[in-house]
Amino acid sequence: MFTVLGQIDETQWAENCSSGGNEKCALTEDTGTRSKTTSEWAWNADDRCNYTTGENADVVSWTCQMLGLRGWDADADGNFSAWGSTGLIQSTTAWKGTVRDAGGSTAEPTGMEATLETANYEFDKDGGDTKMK
Amino acid sequence: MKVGCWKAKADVAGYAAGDAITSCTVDTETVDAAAKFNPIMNSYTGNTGVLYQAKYDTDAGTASAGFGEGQDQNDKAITNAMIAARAVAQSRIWFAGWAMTALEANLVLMGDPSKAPGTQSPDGSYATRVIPMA
Repeated sequence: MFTVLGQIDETQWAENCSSGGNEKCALTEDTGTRSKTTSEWAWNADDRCNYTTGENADVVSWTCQMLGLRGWDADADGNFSAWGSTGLIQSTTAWKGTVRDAGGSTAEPTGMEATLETANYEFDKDGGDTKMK
Repeated sequence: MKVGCWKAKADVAGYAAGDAITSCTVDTETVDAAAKFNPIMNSYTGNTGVLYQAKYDTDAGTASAGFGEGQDQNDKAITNAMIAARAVAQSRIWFAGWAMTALEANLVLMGDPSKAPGTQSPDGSYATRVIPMA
């Protein structure tokens, strides 16, 4: 599921993450400790399976960040206290953005809503010219 | 705009070398006895007319009201780039909405931590949540 981040933010999940010969982002078993009685599984370090392209001075690093559905902060007892800043839902929310003056405020539009407003115009299907602006 | 021009005279035939001015600003609105004009760029018809090119240009710019320039969202012309930008943005907004719906649905299936027992407003669903196996 975390690969959906590539549709939202390619700087966090590059085009070739987990593909081809690049490292896979996945919960995998540690074959070094595997035995008849032991099976250890782990995520990638830092929840990332970054990869590089090019050689020598032309090496380019690409980020492959695994995010959970919706990160949250815990209180002293380990219980939920507040939603955090990272997570697929948080990233998607920021990417989509908000429309101008959302919720009765006077805030500027953000994210894709800002992009849409910049490209704003309206067609009049009846051929009028009052909506071309 | 600086151009070579002439003093304005009602008597066109009366122009002499001393009426020429080597550098002056074209008056874009009126032509009168105090204004200067260029015989090539302007067309002065005397005290009753204002038929000169600079005025035509100003009037044309006003009449166009930005139509056809295609520079930003205030233009009345819709360029291919504007069509593409709007379509891409709208599609991404739709996609974000679908993704949000799917992600929120998965959060419910996996167990919403904000509704876990021990929080201030548990709804009890977290403890009994059964994760469906595909």
